[in-house]
Amino acid sequence: MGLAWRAVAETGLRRFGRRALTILLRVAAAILGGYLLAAGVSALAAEALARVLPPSEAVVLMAMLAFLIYLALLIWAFAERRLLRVLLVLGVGGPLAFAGPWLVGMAV
Amino acid sequence: MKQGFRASMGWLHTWAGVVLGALLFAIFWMGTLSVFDREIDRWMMPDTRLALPAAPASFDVVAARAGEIVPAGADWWFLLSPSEREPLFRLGYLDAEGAFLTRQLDPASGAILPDQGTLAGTGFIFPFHYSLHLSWNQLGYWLVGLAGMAMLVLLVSGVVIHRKIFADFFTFRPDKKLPRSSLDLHNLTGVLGLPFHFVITLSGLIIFFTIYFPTVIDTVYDNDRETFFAESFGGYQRAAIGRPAAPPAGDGASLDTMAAQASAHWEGGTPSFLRIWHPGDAAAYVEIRRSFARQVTMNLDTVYFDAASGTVLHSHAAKPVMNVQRFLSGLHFIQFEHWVLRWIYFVLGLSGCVMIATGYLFWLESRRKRHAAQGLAGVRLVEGLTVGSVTGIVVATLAFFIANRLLPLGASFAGAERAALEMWAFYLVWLATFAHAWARPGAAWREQCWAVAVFGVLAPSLNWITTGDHLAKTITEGYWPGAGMDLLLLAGAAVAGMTAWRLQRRGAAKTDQTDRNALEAAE
Repeated sequence: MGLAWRAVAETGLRRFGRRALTILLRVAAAILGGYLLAAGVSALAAEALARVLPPSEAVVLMAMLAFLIYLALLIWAFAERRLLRVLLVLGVGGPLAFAGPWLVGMAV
Repeated sequence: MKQGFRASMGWLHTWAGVVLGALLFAIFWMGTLSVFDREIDRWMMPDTRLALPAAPASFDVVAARAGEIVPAGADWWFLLSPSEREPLFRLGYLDAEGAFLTRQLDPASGAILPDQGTLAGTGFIFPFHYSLHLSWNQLGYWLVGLAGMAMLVLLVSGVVIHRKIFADFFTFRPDKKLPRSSLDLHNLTGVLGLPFHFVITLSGLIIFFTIYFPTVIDTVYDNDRETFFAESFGGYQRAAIGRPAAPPAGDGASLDTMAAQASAHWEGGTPSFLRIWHPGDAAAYVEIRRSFARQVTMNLDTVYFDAASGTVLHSHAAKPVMNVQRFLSGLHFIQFEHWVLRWIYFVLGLSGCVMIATGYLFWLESRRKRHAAQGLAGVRLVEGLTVGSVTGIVVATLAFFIANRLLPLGASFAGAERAALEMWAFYLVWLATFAHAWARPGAAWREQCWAVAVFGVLAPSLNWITTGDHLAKTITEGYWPGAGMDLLLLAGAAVAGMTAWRLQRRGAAKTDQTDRNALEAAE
């Protein structure tokens, strides 16, 4: 009896732990990865726009739009069912995009 | 995530709300109060309850007084001219050690007003709204930024999970059971306030784009932020020479002439801010900025003059995209003069507070029975959090006002000055309300409502006793900053008192019912 209870409790805990872990990963990817992706994409776009606009205007425009890009990424991070996709796009793509301007600089 | 878009948005709405709602409430509450920050200043600084003179002192007169106050070696000092809501000159300067200090000067004579020993609305409540007074690594700004993004997420997900968005415009069933009526009120304030809440949150974030997205600047400007700021916000710099200004022109050209020239440059715009850079130095120069009183956009119009000769050195105006940013900032800061709009902002800000609080109530009431049955601690934990962050911050704010009226000018305790003591009153009382909420789960709402009612009457009474400005006087004299503050305090006390009384009656009815059930069971 005692053993059975323990088994149930342990599976429950493991299941709970697994669920908690997937939620934690998704939240972290959304908040951190989403931020990095929004900031990186905005920086790259501002760099491109600075060729047609005064540089300060390109910066202000993209820094304002960055909040809306971030908002869209946050919503998507919780709407997308496949966690792996979220982790790839935000968890991997985010840091890559954030380092993007620096990577572009290295390549040139 | 959950099956389906709506279900996953429901999950997101619930949990983002529960986790960040307390922080959001604090930001909304302080932001709502900041709508009337200057009026709170007048109430908390009785010596500044002045009438705006028809002809305030000229810049030249006040600058001469300022020159007596500002210590030699200060890198700059500025004057902010009087306005309807702040009828005094504000003098700010960096002393030789680099510390920022402010003084208030009489609008008619330029005479220095006694230090009021308080941070009041503009110094405590307003910065709390965007920085939480957590200056370490700008942690407060980032927490507010996170909460702001969460607010946008909550608004989007809230719209998605709505099935009858139009019907909810007209639905409020206060007589229904609490989960239903709190959800009605949550939807009503959420849907009606939606455009305001979205714009106020997004604009609040956009104000601080240089803090939240600095890498966009660094990428385009190769880490040279100074150049970015000069090109976008404007700014002109000329180094001090280290040699005093030549004697005949020692006092420099007339500041009033420069102000008139700046006004002509802006086709009639009013100069309201004047800063002297490197005062007394041969390379001293004057920065004059245009007032925000007549337009939503917080313009960046600035003209720089050579202090000795009065010739124009440089002028700046915002470029088109920057003007959009300044417009959105102005929409948020409401520095323009418009009483009707100011009240609408206040009411909509309160509706945001109601929306957050009722969101919590719905979460609690729809789980209370289940959690009790399953022995879960969630409801109890979140209820304490809710009480402390909703009624608790109101009680703490009132304690801040009361401490302001009780502490004599120049008071200090344990090395803390008067202004710090007022803040301690706020934080200690706020902490106590959380402790109280977790210690007395059944009674916390009622008891803290009673506290709001009592404090809300106490604050205007103390204002009367300590300054002689009672309502009959302020209303007959038409002194609305004072009367308005007292009236709002009393109105808040009345609402809280009524709520406490209703909770008490319901609590009594419930106890009766339980007693009767127990009696029946015993029989």
